[in-house]
Amino acid sequence: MDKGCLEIKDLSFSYPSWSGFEAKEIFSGLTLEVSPGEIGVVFGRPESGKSTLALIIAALIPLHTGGEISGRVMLDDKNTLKTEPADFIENCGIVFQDPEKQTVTTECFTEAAFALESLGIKEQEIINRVESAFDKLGVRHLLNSPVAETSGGEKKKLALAGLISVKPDLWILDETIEELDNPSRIALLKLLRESGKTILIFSSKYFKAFSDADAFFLLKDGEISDRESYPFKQEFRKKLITEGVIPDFNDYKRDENTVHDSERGLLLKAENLRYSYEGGSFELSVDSFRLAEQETVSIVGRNGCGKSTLARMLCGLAEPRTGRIFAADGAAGISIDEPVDSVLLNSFCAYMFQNPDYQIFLPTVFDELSWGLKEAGYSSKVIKARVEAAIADFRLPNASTPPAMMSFSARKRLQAAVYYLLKRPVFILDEADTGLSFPDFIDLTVKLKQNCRGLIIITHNLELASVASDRVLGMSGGRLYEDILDYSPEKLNEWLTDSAERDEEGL
Amino acid sequence: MIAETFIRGRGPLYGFDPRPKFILLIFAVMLFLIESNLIVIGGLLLIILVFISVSLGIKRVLIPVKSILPILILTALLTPPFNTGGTIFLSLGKHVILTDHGIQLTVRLILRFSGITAAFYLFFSTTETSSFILALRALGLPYPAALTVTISLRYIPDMFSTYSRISDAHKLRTAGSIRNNRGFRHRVHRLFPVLISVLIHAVKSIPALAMALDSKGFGRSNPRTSCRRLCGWGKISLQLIISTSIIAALTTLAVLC
Repeated sequence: MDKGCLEIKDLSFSYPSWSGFEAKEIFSGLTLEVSPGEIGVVFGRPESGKSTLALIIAALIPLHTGGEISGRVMLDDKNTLKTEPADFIENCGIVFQDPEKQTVTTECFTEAAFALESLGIKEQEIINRVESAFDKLGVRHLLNSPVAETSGGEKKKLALAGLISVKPDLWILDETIEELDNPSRIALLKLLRESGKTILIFSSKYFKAFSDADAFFLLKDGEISDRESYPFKQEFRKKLITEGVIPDFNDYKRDENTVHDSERGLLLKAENLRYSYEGGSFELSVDSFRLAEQETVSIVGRNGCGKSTLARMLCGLAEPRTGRIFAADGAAGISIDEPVDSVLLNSFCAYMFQNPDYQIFLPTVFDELSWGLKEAGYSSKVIKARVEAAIADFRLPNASTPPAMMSFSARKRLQAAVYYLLKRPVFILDEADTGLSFPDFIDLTVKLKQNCRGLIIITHNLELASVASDRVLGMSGGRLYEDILDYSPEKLNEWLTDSAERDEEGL
Repeated sequence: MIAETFIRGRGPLYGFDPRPKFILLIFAVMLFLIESNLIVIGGLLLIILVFISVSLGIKRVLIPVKSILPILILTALLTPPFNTGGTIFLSLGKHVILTDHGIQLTVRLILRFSGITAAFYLFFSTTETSSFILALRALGLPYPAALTVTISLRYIPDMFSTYSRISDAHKLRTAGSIRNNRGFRHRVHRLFPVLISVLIHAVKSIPALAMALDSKGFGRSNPRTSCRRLCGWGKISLQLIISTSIIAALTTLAVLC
C-alpha cells in the first residue's frame, strides 16, 4: 500500500483561554483528505488557522500548546493525536512558517543532519543524504556556513533540506513558498513532484508554481472547502479573490505616467556603497541607488543577494565600509547634495523588519502606537485621537490587546501603524507582504504613501512589484541593477532566472 | 536560536581537540578561583589575552572585559569600603574607605572575573558547538544533557543578538525624538522596554524550541548516531602532553609563588 494517506475527520480545536482572553474555536468539524503521492495546497487568509492545522497534523499541537481537541487525524494507520512527534518523523515532516523557530543548531550541515542522527542513520549515509538535499535546492555553498549568516529564504531552504534528507511519507510546508524567489519556487515544486511523496502546502497566496498541484482547498471560518483542481472553477476563483489569495490587480492599476526623478527631484541617493560581514565571503557592492520624491521603488532578487543589508544601510543601521548616502531633508536643512550620517538616516527612513516581533515590544496596542508620539512630545489628546484613527485604519484589535496575543498578520499591521504615526519621509518594507494577503499589502502601501515621501518595497512577489511600484530594481550577488525597464512579472522572472544562472557561474 | 559564540578563524587553538581544551578551561577556571597570588592570576590572564589576540585578532582582546565592565566597576567601588584591614590610605571621619587589603582584594576579584570570562570567551570562540557537544559526550555526559548545556550556553549570544535587533528597532523609533538628549537616567529608563522585550522573546522561544526538537526526532528511544566524530584519544597524545605540561607548569608556579 502506498504511504502518506492523510485523512482528517470532524476536527475541532480551540486554544486554551487565559484571564481576559477567551479563546475561540479555530476549527469546527473540519474534514480533509489527501491521497498518497498527491500535492495538496490549502489556501487561507492570514489568521485562518493554517499554521495551527499544520502543527496538529505534525502531532505538535496540542502537545506543546494545550487546548481542546476532538475528531480524528489519521496518517495511514497512525492517529497523530495519540502519537509522540519524535517517533513520527519518518511518517510526517514539517517546515515551520518561521524557520528561525525550527533551528536548533548553529551550523547548516549539523542542522540538516539533526533528524537523521535522531533516526540513528549511519555517518556516511547522513553525509550523502544531506549533500544531495543541498544540491537539489541549489544551496551547496551553504553546507559549512553558520545558520546566523543565512537570509530568511535560505533558512527556509535549510529547513527544506532537513525534510528532504529524512524523506517522510507526508511533507507539510507552512508558508514555505512565500519567502522563496520565483526560480526557487518553480524548482521546489518540480522537486516535490519528483519526490513522489504526499505533500501538503499551506499558503495565504496563490503562486503560478502551484498550478501543477493535484488538489486545492480553501480554509475559511474553521472549515475546509471541497477539493478543487486547476484551472479553478469560476466560483472557487471568486472565493480565492474574496479571501485575498488571488490578487485582483484590476483594482490596482499602476500609474503609467511615471514622472522620472529628473523631474521630481531626488529624495534619497547612495553612491559606491561597499559592505561585507566580518569573516564572511559575501560583499555588497552598490554603485548607485536613487529614490525620487513620491516614488515607489521595488527591489527584487534571489534569497541571500543582499536586499536586507542594503535596506539596513539606507536607514543607518549598518555602516558601509565605503560610500556615501545623501538625503533631502528640508526639515533639517539638508539638501540632496550633502552626505548624511547614520543618526539622520535613522530618523529619515522607517524600516519594517521581516520579523515584526523585533519591532513591537510594549504590553498593549495603545502603548505601542502612542509611544513614539509621546517621545515626539504630542499632547495626550492628540495622541489618543491619532491612535484611535490608526487602530481603525490598520484594522487592529482594541487598544488594550496585548500584541503577543495577536496573529502574525495583525502584528505586521501594528508594526506598519507604528511607523505610519511617526511620519518618516521614507518607508522601507522588507518582505512585508509575507503573512499579509494581497489586498492587505496593497492597502498598506496606499496608506503609507499618504504619510511619506518615498517608499522602498523589498519583495519576492513579482506581481506585487510590478503593480505597486514606479520602478523595479534587481539585485544579484550583492550588486544592484538599476531600472529593469520592462517590469512585467514575466520579464522580472526571466531576469531573476538569468541572475540565478549568473550567480551559479560565479560560485 | 541561531546566534553562536564560535568565530571562524585560524590558529593553533582551532586545531586543538575540544577535550584537552575543555580540561584546560576547567583547570584555568579552578586556578582563577583558588589561587590568590596576584602575579599568578595576572600572568594567567595575560596569557589568555595573548591567545585571544593571536587566535581572534587584537581588536577582540578587550571584548570579554568589556562584557562584564559594569560588574568590574561595581566591584571596584564596593569592595574597598567593606574590606578595611591593613594600612589605611583614605578615610572619611570614622569611615575607612581605602586600605591596602581592600585594594589587593579588589584587584584579585577584578583579575578573577576578567580571567574566567576571558577563558570562556577564548574557548567558545575557537570551539564549534557541535565539537563541544562531542567533547562533553566523550567526557561521559549523556547526549540530552550535552545538548541542554550547549543550547543553554547558546542562549547567551542569542539573547545578545535579540537585544541588538530590538535596540536597532528602538533606535529607529526614537530617532529625532525631542527626548533623545535627556541624559544618563533617561537612557537607563529607556532600556526597560528593550530588556522586557528580550525577556518576552526568550520565554516565547521555549515552546518553539520544544516543537523544533520534537520535529527533529529528539528524544527517540533508538540510539542516536553522529556524523561528526572526534578522533581517538591516541591521535591527540601530543595535545594531551602539551595540556598536561601546561597544567603542571602552572601548578608548580602557583605553589612556588
